[in-house]
Amino acid sequence: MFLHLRPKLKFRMRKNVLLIVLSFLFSVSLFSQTKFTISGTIKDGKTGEELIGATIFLKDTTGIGAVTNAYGFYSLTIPASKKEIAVRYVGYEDYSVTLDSMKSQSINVSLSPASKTLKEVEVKATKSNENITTSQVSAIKLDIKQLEKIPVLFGEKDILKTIQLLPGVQPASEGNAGYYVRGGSNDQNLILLDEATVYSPAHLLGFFSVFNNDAIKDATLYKGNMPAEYGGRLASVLDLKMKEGNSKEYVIGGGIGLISSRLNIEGPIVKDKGSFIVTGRRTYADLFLKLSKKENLKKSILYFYDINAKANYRIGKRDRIFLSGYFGQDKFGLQDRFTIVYGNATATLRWNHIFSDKLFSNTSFIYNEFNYTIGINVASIDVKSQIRDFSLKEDLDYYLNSKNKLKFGFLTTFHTIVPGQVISSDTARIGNIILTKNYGWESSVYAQHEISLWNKVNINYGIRLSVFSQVGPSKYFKFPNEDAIDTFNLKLGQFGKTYFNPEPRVSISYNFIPSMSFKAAYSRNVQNLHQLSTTTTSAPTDRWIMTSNNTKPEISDQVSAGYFVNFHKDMFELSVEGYYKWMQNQIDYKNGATLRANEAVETELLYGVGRAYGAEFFFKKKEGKFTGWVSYTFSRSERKFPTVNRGTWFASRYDRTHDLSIVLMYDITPRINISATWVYYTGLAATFPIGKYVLNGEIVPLYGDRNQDRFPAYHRLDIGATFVLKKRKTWEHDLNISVYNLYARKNAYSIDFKTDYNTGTSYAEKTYLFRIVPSITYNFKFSFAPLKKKQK
Amino acid sequence: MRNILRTIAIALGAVIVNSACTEKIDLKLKNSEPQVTIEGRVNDKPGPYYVAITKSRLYTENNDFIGIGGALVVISDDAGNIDTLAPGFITGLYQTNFIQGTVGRTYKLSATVEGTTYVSLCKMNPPVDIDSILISTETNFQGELKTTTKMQIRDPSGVPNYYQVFSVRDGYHGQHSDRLWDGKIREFNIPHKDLASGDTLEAELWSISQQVYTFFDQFDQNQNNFGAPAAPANPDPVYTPAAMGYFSAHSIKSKTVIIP
Repeated sequence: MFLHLRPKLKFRMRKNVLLIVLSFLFSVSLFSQTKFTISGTIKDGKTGEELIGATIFLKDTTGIGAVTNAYGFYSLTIPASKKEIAVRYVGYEDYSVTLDSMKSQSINVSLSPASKTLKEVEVKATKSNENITTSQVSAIKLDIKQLEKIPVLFGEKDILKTIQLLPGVQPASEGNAGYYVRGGSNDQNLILLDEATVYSPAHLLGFFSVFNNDAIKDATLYKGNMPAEYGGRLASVLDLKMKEGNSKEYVIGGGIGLISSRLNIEGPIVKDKGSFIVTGRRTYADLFLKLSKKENLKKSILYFYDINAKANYRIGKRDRIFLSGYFGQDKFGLQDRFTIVYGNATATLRWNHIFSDKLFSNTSFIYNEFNYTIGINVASIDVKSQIRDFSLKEDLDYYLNSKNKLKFGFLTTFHTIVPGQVISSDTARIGNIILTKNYGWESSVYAQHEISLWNKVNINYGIRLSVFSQVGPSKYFKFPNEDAIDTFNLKLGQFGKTYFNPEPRVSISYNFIPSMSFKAAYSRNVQNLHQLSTTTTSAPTDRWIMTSNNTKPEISDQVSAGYFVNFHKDMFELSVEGYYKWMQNQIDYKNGATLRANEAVETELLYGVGRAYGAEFFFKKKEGKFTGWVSYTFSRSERKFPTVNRGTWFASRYDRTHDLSIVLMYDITPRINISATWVYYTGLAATFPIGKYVLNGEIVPLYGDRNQDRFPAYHRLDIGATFVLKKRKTWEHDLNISVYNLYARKNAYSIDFKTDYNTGTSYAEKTYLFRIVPSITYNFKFSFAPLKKKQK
Repeated sequence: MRNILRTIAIALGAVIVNSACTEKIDLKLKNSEPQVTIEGRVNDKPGPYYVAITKSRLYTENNDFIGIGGALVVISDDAGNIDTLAPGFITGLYQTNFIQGTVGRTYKLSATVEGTTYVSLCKMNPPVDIDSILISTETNFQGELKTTTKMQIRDPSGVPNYYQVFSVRDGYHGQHSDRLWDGKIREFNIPHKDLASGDTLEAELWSISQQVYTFFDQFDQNQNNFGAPAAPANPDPVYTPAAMGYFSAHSIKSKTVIIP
């Protein structure tokens, strides 16, 4: 009898211990019968677009709420006694609902956009304090609508240039879409468009981003302390999500600008079940070239175009399929001498499945590539290069209860890099140079837990385990000593060097009072793809290499802490953040390195360490006729390589001591708004001559240590105005006017050192790209309801 | 490539908004102690060969470079010849007395300047023939008609070759490595100022060493830097201890044509 009882007792005890642990962890009693779960999607009532980051909460109880995920899905577990639910999203009117039964159910909500044109009085739109309550630190969610008002070069609304106005983010150079985040290089920024990696995010040598604003629904920038679901780059993740398309009516919109025009079409496939959107852009700068009197310019080519397309369809209540893609290309040609063609292509197929009211799944198949071809006609050769990824991704959201959320999943990617192949025709004077392709297999699994304690503390902790292997069939190099090069071959399916890296992440927020919080975070990030750039601004032809037996994964450890406060009923937002980042296995190249058409390119590289630290100040007015922000960053970014500057720390190309942006927007009337931005930043670190000497009869600069000098400080004022010409229910159009560099400052784009042999003197000469650049853009939009099918 | 990209970037600014421009600026530059530059050449033609020694100046100073006199300069080879150079016709210039450059020998330049002895070694590679000189009229990028001259060579296959092209009237031009076109027929532009009918063009092809090629390649990359460049730096020194300049032992083939 006694013997018979023991195992049972043991079992019970174990179970109890487990339950106690679980209920402590998740601060809920799992047996409780007095709770139920509501779930569903939250949408824009006008367009049917799902809203990301909308909050749904209990009206009379603080601290019980949920936030919609990237697909507008939420799940909220609530006590059975509660039935007053409210839904909120910035820029939309509040919505309340009273539940009529106390059981688990599906509730889909459509929010009405807060309209401004109806009355002059300030509309009671929702304000958000999510910036205070979330544990996420060092992240910014961009307001896509606000972006339309900010003046930019040539009037091309550009998300990558707008993020450069935020703290901790700096432009790579004048008018450039490239950016540096917290002292990291350009290639340390991961840019995701519907989960697909965009390797080269700029058109026209960096002057425009490849992202057409008309196609983007949501954009969030993580400055190094990303949650465990993201990985692969050290400095930042910019997560862009494309619009789904209007599921209620057809809309045709577009714009005609100074150098490009846009057109977009969206509408339902089947009303409220599926929708599509197609957006396109093309520049016509080449038409200006045709006007030139110079024969050589007339024959030149210079344009880009891009297309975004997306469709989605609901299959039943639990499943939804999305297909999205991007294709863009740039083409330059100087006379008949040479042409450069380059572009990105991405495709994402996604399947959302709701397993239960608490478990949401998304499975994605992702393809992306970047390629370029340089045709050197005078030499009859083409140089071709490509980087291509195939990925499978799975993400699961598990809404345990209103205080606990789990997220876990995996990502596996097969990378192919085709380095610059030289393909020559029969008449060419150079033979074919076929560099071996490189293959890499990169995978990661992650799990993260978001927990909220005592309504005051939010914690998000997690871990990402990443593994990278060099794989065959390919040739790799070994360098047993300084001058020797050995090669080894990997066959198809054979693995070379493999690196495992655990990447722990944690962020914590403590809310003193609902409108004030202190946050801290730590993250380790690992990067296995590296871009070798010989200039400050990345060029489309810059070569990418993978982690190998010689090049180790880049690793960063970043700690951040900040103080966040909202006041005047969340109308104003103020934050102060500090960070420190350590970087390992940073890459630079040797003096006079040969990076092109060089198979053993790793012989030209140097490996070192980096450190970056800074303080970021951000003050924003979010509501009212007058809105805008002031952002100031003090930061340093340094590198150390054994053979550069005798192994001492030196300022990196990404170092900008001071960086200030002021953005002001004012609605004069509902139809007219004006805006202005002013930016100031420390000139970039550069190497200037410390003397001069004679070589072959020429007088040439003598250089000292790397990056000991600075360009002159950069500053610029831009202004803009938008006039709504007409706004009706079915159509509207507006005119946007902007002036770039209003006071015509001649900011140095480059500095050359020259000698005047007549006067026998040497001098420095700067090249500046732009003085005052005015521009004008006309935008229009028509919408009409789907045609009713004729009844027979 | 960097130059092409730069041209496009600036052309873009210039064409679209008609605004890209240049302007002199004042910068506060750091100053270095004067550094020694030694330029020396030995070839397979009859001597004398010359070595020039100068000192660097501050960037903001004028360009009145003065040679360093009183240095002890010695050129020797691996066949046992040792030649102590005599002062040349201007201060800082030194010339050989008897040594004769021979293909295949390794030459050593040693220069003692103000108490420090700088040394560099260089092997003389075999010469490569100029097959022919091609003369044509081409439209340049500015749309003007210009006489263009090129030399055609046949690169010896199986060995790395490094070249410099020299126009006796107008000076030397760039350096080339056969890394990407080993064993092929190749044309090099010959640098020259405007040529008129009846002018004599004397072109030389120098077969230089890898070290000298690398020195000039690094030198050019740093001179051509653009914008916010990858940090420019001095070429890696060919002298021990470090001094600016080069020591090149090269063989020469030449060809002369008259412009029709």
